[in-house]
This record gives sequence, C-alpha cells and structure tokens, in this order.
Amino acid sequence: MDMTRRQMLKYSAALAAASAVGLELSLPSGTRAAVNDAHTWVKGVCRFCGAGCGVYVGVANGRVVAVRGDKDNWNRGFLCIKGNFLPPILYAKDRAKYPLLRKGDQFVRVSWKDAMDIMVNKFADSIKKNGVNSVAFYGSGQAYTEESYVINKLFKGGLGTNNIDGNPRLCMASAAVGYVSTFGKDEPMGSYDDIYHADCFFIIGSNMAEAHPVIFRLVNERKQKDRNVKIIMADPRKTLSARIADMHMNFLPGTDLAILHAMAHVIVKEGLYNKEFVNSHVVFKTMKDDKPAKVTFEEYAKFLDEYTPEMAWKVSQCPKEDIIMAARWFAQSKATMSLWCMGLNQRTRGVWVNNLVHNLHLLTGQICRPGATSFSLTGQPNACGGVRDGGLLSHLLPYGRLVINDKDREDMEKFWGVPAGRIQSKPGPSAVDIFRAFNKREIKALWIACTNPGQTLPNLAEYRKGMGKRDTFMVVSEAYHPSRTSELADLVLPAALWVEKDGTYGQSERRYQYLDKAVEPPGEARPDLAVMIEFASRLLKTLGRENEAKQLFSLRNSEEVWNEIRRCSKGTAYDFMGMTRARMKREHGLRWPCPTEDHPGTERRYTARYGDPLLHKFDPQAADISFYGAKADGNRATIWLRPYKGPAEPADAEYPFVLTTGRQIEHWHTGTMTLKVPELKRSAPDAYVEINPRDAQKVGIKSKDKVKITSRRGSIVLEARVVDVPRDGLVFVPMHYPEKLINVLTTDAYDALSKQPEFKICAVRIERT
Amino acid sequence: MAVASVIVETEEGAVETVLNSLDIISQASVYGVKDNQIVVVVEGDDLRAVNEVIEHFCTIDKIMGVHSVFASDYA
Repeated sequence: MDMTRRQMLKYSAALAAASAVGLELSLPSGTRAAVNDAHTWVKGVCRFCGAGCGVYVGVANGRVVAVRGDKDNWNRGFLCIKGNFLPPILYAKDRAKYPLLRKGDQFVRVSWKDAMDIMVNKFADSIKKNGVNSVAFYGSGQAYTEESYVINKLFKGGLGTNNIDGNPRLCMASAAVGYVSTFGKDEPMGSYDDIYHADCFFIIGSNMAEAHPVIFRLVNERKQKDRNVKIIMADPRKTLSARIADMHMNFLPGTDLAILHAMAHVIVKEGLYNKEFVNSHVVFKTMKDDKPAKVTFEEYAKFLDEYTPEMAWKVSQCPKEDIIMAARWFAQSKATMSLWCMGLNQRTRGVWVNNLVHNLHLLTGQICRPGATSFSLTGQPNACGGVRDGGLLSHLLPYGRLVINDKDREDMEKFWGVPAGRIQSKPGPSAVDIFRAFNKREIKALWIACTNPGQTLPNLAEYRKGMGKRDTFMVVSEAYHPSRTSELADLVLPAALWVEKDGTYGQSERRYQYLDKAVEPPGEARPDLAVMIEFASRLLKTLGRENEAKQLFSLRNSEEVWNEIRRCSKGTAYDFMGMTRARMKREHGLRWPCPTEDHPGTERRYTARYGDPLLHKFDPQAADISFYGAKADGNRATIWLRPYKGPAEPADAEYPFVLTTGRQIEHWHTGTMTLKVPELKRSAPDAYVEINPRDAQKVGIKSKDKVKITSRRGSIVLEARVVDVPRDGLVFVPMHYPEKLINVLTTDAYDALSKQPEFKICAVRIERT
Repeated sequence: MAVASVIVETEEGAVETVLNSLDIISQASVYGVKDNQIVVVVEGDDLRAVNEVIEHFCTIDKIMGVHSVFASDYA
C-alpha cells in the first residue's frame, strides 16, 4: 500500500520527533516510502545562532535535501524551527552567482579576473597614495575561523594596519571585555554540561526560548527533572522564556546595575558570601584617576552600603523582595549558573554589567564546579571561534594576544615571519568608528564580508549615507544580492554559503566544530577563503612584496590554514594543538583547551579538579582553582566596584517610551537567510511593534493599527501588536526585517570599554497614524 | 496544508492526564510516548494555524515544555 503524500509527511514528522527522544516507530506494514532519501549525510553545524547545534546534512543529486540534528552532539539531535529549515537557504532565488560591478545605478556582471584586478588595484592605489590606514576590512562572526584568520593576517601582519574589525563588536564585545577584565582571559569557563548540574539559573537579558531555543530546552529539562531547581528570569519583558521562571524580575531598562549591586549587598550583609573563596581567589578593584586601583573587601562592602534593595527598587522598580530573594537563591543554591545575552551586552555599560554578574559568582564561590558558572550566550555561530578567539577585532591578535602588548606583537611578527615593528601597537577603529571614518573618507577602500552593516549598524541612516558615496570604494562579499549592504556596494563578490565550503565554527561553550563541504556553490560563487588568499597574495605583490606574498599566503586550502591556526594557539591559554583536522572530522566538536591529540577537550577551565589541562602549566603552585589568565593579579579574578550609571538615552518628556530591539524564534539576524524560507516567512512575515495593553490604551492603539515610532534619529511605521509582554513604557521591535530598518532609530552611543553600541535602549515616542 | 511534529514534555506522572487533554484536539495526533515525552504531530491549513495549536499546548495543565522537531507546509 502506498502512503499518500500527507500520510508520508505526517509519518516523517513523527519519525523525526521519535528519533530525538529515542522512541522506535516502525513504518506501517505494506508501506512504501514515497520520499527520496538523502544519498549521503555530511556532518556539520547549524548556520544560525551561537548555540552551535550539530547537524547532519542530507545530500542527493548534488543538492541538500534534508537536515537532521546530530544526536551524538551536545544538542542530542534537537534543532529549533530555524535549524529544521536550513536547506532552503541555499536555493533562494537571489543567491549571488557572479561578480557584479556598479555602473551608475546598475550592477553589471564581470569576470572574477576583472573583479579581482579592480579590487586589488583600488586597495593598492589607496595604500600608495594615502597610507595603509586608508583601507579597512569589516568581518563577521558567521565567517569560518580560517577566513577570519587569513584576512586578519593580511591586514595586521601583511599590511601593518589594525583597520580590521567585525560584527561581534555589535553583539559580544562587552561580554569579551567583561571576561577579560574579570578573569584575565576571554570566554566562558564552563559549558552546556553545567546546565545538567545547576540548581539555580539566573537568566538576565536573554530571551533564550526564542534566541537560543535548544539551549533553553536543556534548562527546561533540568527544571522538569528536579522541581526544586530555581529559575530567575530578569528582563523588562515577560517573554516566552519567563514561562518557566519561578521568579520574573521586571525592571526599568538599563537599571540592572543597581539590581546586581543590591544582590551583592544582600549577600555581603547577610553573610552569604564565601569568605574562603574570596580570600583565596579574588582581588577587588575600582577606578581611580582612570586607572584600576586595588581596594580591600571592607572597602567593597562599604561601597555596597548605598546599594540597598530599597535603593535598587527606587531606581529600577524591581520589587525589593524579589531582589532579596534572588540574592538568597543565588548564594544559597548548591550550584548557580548565570546565562545572559544581548540585554546585558548591547549597552553603554555593557562591560560593567557583565562584571557585576561575574562579581556575584566570585563573591559566593558559585564558579568553577559543575553547575556553578557565569555563562555568556553568543549570538552568532562563530563570533567566539573566528573573531574573539581568532583576534580579528581591531585591538586583538590571535588567541588572547593584544596589539598594545609588546611581547604579543613580537610573538605574532615572528610567527607570521614579518619584520619586527610591522604590527601597529595602536588599536584600530572599532565597527562604528570604521563606518564613521568611511563616511569622512578617511577610509577610502573597505571590504565587507559575510555581514550586513547596511541593516545592522545603529543610527543606520548616517552610515548608509557613507556606504552610498561613490568617491570611496566598497566591496561586499555576500551570498545573496541584493542585501541592504550589497545594494550600496561598488563591487559585489558572490560567496559560497555554509556547506558549500568547509571550515570551522567555534560556539558559545568553546566547542570548535568542523563543517564539511556537502555541495557546490551556485554559479561562480566562491568560498571567501579562496578569495581572501588570492587577494592577499596579489595585493602584496602589487605593493612590491612578492616574497612576502609567497611566504604568508601560499596556503592552498582550509586544512592548511587550520594547521597554521592550531600552531598559533600552541602555548596560549587556548591551546588546541590537539584538534587535528582528522579528529575534527571524526568527533562531534571538541572544547578547547585541547593541547594534545589524545586530550578529550575541556569541560571546565580554571580548575584542576575538573580537568583544565593548562592550569598547572600556567600556575604550577595552584591547588585547584586558578584564574591563570590574571597573572598580574596573582592568578586571582577581579570583583569590580562599578558605580551605577543608567543608559545613554533614557526616556524623557519628549520621547517617553524606551525602544528595545531583539529576536523572534522564526528568524535570525537580518533575515537574509530565514526570510528566504517560505515557511518561516509565512509564520513571521513582517516587523511589528510590541506594546502592552496599558500603554496601548493611553496612546489609543489596538492590535493591527499602524503606529509611527520616532526617535531623535528617525522614524518608522509598523503594525502594533498589543500583548502583555513588555513592561509599561517599553516597546519592542524585532530586528530581522530589511524593509523595516529599525536601526534607523537606534543610538550609536557605545560602551567606552568595549565600543559596543547600545541597541537595547533608546528613547522614542509613539503615535497612531 | 501544513504538518509539524513536536515533543510534549509532561510533569512527572502526568502523561495520561496530558494524553487525555491532547485527545480532544482534533488537529493533534499522538504517535508514541517515551517516559514523559509524547510525540505529537499537528496538522493545519498552514503553518500559522499549526503554530496556534502548538501554542495552545503550552497552556494545557501538566505540560512543561513543547519542543518543535519538524515542520513543513508542502502537504
């Protein structure tokens, strides 16, 4: 008996779910499957968020026809709704297939030879006439590690400019600087495994249910298995995530520093801190005359005097009883895990608020053991591996090294074989400042790859003006055309996407994973790595440095680049020499450090008891815990005394609402991929403004009304969605829609330490149109 | 026509109660149970309709989580 198509689809759906939970379902007897099975399954990673779910990609007749979760990876076979719809992103009608050169208002197809000739000559001419700092690169946390490494090597080591930054500046920079300023080194010390052991979750500034659904599933599962597990959700919106919370801490946007200090106040005043841990592993610092200065625990306790729960309530409107309870749960649970994302990072005090979360863990000793850890969730699939770890940001060198550090520059100059003094010691411009410089024509040639700043930059209209100027030169490598960035380009290079090329991604829990190539890219699209190697080699030759071109860029494929990257990590706190390509192909990701080929990868850093293989190398005297990245502080982490400061642009009489932006489960980032999937687009077709019923009544709005939202920078008209999710005075707009550029309204004020903009808070007014 | 499969996770000991609640939802078909996880396939005119049914699951007593696994509107 043949199944009908409908029956087949229902049964396929059921089989997929059943396999995820280990339930056996057999096909009905006499049934003949009507679907073409994939002939080959290729191991890879989801293209979307920083959770980094393992997948298998099903290929038949040269096309990706299916995807399933990797049940042997951390996600145990689960994918979110977006992951289930990966295959169609490769076959969208607007895939960029050929190099395109702007002629007036049109784009004309050119050959790769002509495209590269033009690009090399433009960059070389600019360097010769205006100096090496007249060119720049803007990269991405979605590029493969190999791609980011090669282009970083060109700009910093080959050309000698730090004019290279990436879009993780817009999402993770505050988390990165938060970790470094507290622990001496970047990246979480724990892993997703900690979720299985935590007894208390403190989730702040993250709508995990929609932004990291598969990780959220693990938290939910932990709660189900043990009803005593406490979940604290701290967010000015009562999102889908709050559905499982035991306590939802609701507060005015941007006032969480007061809340976190007040929690510390309770912990100290009630004697709930871990005195032994603090005495053994912590230093206290404040800023005096713009320099860090050590203080004592007593001075810290005195600093906390003013941050009573009462004070925090007055500032934040979060009930003081909630603050007190949250502090007690945090301190007194057997193991507390904090999870956060853009609600903390995309702020002008992003670094400070990251520090304050770490403070609570250090104060209570809720760190470096199963379930006890401060864990920042990452937005993009390779912001960690390629950009933070790989050192693509304008102040970084690979694997924990800094451009301002003499020894680090010397190390990299020797490693790359470039002359001493080649790498500049002054950090280059960060993301927003690159585009400011491009506006002013201080940067005259800019290459943008694998990202969409024409949609994502804050105060967007200002920077789109600069990108649209024709007396500078902008190259955009992109898988789709037009995007809101490629439409402004002078030259568009068609890029291979996801499993059309091979390479490495590194996700939130330090897990590096290899993605194998499964299919060919369309038309003449090429992997960015090949284009970058060719460009680098040709540019250096054009600048008269043929020998250097051969020495630096004779790499032939991603495996050769990966082997160089591994060697670059050797001896650092990242050391992943053990992650050979062969192992990466076999395993389901490996967590660094992984210094030898027989090392299984590291679940938990900074603790000998839980297996950090580098601990005794960097701190031979350590008994168990050592924050060995903080050598200058005797391997101790820092509790920071950060004063309370609110957002750059709070609501006021003229603009009485706060606008916050964020994600929906159906879409990812600027929708260039997910909006091409018909199912996802039908489920979430357009932007809207979310407003609560009380505010809606005051303004005279009901659901589906057209509403004009205006900030000091611009305005937009959206359909209203009246739901009791955002708190009073707060409206929310999703960020994904290219036809509704919400970033025209957001502020480009940024954190002075991380240079990350404050996407999460700006002041707006609302009116019905 | 659209279909989606989800795993409905119930509170401990509440599988039968939840199965009874699901039984009266015409768009939902139960395909099996493992521990406290129920494999359910939802049908609807389109994915929006399917999504509404799935969102309704979240309001049913004793259901702790609803996890999407597969969806398609090619039926």
